[in-house]
Amino acid sequence: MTPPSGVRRWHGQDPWQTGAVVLAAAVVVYLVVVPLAFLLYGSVFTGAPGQPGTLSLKRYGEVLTDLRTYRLMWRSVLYATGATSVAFCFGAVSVWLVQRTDIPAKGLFTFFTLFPLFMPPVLSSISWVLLLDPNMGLVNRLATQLFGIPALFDVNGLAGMIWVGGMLDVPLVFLWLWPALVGMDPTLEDAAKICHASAFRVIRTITLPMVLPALAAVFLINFVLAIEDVTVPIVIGLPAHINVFASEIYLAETRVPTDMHSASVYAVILLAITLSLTLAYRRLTAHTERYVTVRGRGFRPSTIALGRARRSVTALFALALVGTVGLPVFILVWTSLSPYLQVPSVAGLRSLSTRWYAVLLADPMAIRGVLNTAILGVATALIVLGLSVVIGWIQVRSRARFRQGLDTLAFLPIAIPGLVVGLSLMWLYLTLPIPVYGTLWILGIAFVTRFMPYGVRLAYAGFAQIHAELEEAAYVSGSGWPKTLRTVSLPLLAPTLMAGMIYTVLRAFRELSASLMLFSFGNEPFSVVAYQMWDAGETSKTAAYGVVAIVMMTLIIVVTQRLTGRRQLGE
Amino acid sequence: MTRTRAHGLCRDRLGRLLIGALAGLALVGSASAQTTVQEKLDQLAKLSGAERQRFLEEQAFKEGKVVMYASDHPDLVRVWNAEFKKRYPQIDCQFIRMTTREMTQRAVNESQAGHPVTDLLHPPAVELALLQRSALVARYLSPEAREFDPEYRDPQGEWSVFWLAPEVIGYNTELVKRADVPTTLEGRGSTALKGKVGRGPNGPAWVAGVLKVRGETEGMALIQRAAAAEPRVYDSNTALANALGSGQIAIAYDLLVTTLGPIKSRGAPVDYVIPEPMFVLPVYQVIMKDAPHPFAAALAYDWILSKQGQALFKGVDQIGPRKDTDYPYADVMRGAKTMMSFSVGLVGEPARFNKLFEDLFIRR
Repeated sequence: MTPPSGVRRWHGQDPWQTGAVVLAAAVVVYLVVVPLAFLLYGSVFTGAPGQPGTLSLKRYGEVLTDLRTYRLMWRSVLYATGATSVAFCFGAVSVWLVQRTDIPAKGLFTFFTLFPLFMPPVLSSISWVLLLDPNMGLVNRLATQLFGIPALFDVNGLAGMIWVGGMLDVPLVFLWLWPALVGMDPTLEDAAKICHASAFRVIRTITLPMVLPALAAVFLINFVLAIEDVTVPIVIGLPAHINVFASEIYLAETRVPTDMHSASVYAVILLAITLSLTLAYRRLTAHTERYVTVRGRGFRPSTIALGRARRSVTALFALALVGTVGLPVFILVWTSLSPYLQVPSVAGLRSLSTRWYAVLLADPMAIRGVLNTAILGVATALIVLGLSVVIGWIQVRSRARFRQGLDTLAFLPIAIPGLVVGLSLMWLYLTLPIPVYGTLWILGIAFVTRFMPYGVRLAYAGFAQIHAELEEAAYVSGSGWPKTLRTVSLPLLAPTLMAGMIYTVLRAFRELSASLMLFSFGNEPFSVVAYQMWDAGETSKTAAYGVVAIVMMTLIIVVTQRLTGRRQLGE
Repeated sequence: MTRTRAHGLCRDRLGRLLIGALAGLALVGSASAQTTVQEKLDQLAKLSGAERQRFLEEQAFKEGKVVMYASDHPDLVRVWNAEFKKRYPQIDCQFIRMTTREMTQRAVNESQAGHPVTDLLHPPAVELALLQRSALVARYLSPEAREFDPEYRDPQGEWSVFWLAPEVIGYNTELVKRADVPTTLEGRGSTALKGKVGRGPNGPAWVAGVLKVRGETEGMALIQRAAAAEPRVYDSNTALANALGSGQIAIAYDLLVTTLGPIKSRGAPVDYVIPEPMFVLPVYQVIMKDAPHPFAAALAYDWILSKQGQALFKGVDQIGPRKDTDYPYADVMRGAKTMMSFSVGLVGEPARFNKLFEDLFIRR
């Protein structure tokens, strides 16, 4: 990859620059190498960690020569591609409508599009089952009662999994594409319009190619998230006998005793798929200068007037949100008020109460969980974004020889199962004389490791859209690297950083697999508390806890936006 | 840097390493000279009655802390934390609730890394067998378990059962009549309810139980017929109970009565029948061989098995092993013709049953 001509490259001359680069590289290596080594070792070691065993490649042979592996792989790819495509269709159209058109109530539309991200994934999936199950699903029942037709939808199949998986990821597509669109100079689009190019042609030939790194990054991340997602395959796939790679890893992990060997072999195969996709992504976006949308000249983002279609487009958008967001949220709130999990009905209204909210208030662990995660989420987001900015800068702006290695290393944790991250950190800090085991710190380290890949991809896409001439101008004026970064790059990256901040805080509320291995008494994060409520059969209480978390997360986001005082989502 | 200086530095480092290693050995030596957890627990065996209790409490108060990893119902853990603190305010009790998998992995890994944290553990049979194979369990004969049935206490003192739950067949009263619910193993092969039946996550133990009750040939045929009816497999008792209560399925096999009971009492249209045979899931209590607070562990061990500790079970809908205590679902425990426990002897070597269950019920 060749940086644009004239860009100040890293030669190690600026001590601040050298310090930041070395520190970021050291932190990435420290965070990633241990879990990665643990995963690779686990895949060739036949025993559980700490148990007797031998080094062998036999399991690789068994897995790779088993036809079932390829069936699982094919089904996983189908599921991930389908879910990503569904998320893309809804997410990209939503963000385009909000960001580039004159649709009204943009803040409201943005908020509701992001809403599924606030819901605990298990409860989101269950909400869809309660809506689309052929035996008792609310939508199917209504269709039967109103039109006398049999069940319209069946969530219990691959198509149902793809739909639900896609719906869970719509907010991610929205969140990640938002900075790309908000930072786009409309000059080229305006020029095309002056030349009488149709709106479709403008999108196809100007808009889409310019946001290609962001689109590719979002598609890649969503694909990887979908292929490693375990919630939908377990809640919907397992009862319907539809297994994918992630469910196979889950089965190996939950088997007693834990079959870490098989889980690691499957995870390494997943890692190989992810790495090949990353390489493809890198080739696709090899020439960053092609995607520059922010240059030295000032611009005002323009919006496309929808004209007479404005009302109908708005109504259609609102209707889609009611169906895809409103109904699952309604199910969540309904469940939080119900004595047990039941499909909404008129008869069920009589049984509703706020009992579970009162139970929650009396549970100190529930309150601790929200507070611990709020602290962890914000701290993790700041560290992840700091690291991502430096790594993104190295990747896009510098010619450092290690830049691609560092980028790959920072992206690897995306495919390392959370359980492996948790176990490896547990072993590391039980062995090292660093007193972080049993504290919030160890959870913070796990969170930074797990969320870093998303921050890095976002920062990379953000830097790729900003022409280096802006930074060059600062250098010419005598600014050093830190000042240039602070006064030029960071303000231009603000929308990207905001999206990264929101995403990381929300992910902190959802991270479970590593947290389960690392939490301790008094340091329980939200996801662990919620999972334990769910595991113990307290479904309605879990839903109430989810509603409380939604309120908390909304507050965090609103306060963050107010504090940063920058362009806000949806504006 | 000259070569001589470099060699000097290397020698210095080697010297420091040697001193460090010697210091480490000295520490290990002094540790082994200290009284071990087992020796401390054995001291208790020599005492009895009030004298034993006084000594135990004195030593436990000196330790001042007890940690327990448990996968029990959160309400039970919550009430234990509150009541034990009330009973023994001198001891900082940390009864931590986690899933069975995490509980076992953490306890084993912490012990093997030489950094034990937990004193007490509550494993089911498969996990208990794993701990025993790893020699991580101390022997402790609690006076509170003396009157337990033999199947609920280990004569060697490695474990006592403190909690148990029978697996029943749940059904949705709006979708199926009680008379149509199959209660026998033969009835599970019926395809009349195909698409409307589900089963819980404890499949491998169920496979082991059926093979034990009916023998290899007949048992395997019954298991295969049950799998051919294509029950939906849920990954937790909660998910299974939710599917039943919401009407996604009409019948739920092998559902813990302690999971179904609470949603029934809250008005869900569900009920249960007692299967033939009925399997019971026991959970054991053990003291870790390297427990950092062995006396406090023994005190908590006794308290959980005591009448006072077990009396808390009724309020949170759980069942224990004491004969002199009232527990809920007594009708279920009395109503079973054949009752078999998922004991260490039955399910201690689970690899074969895991594979059978996954191949037949999950990877069809």
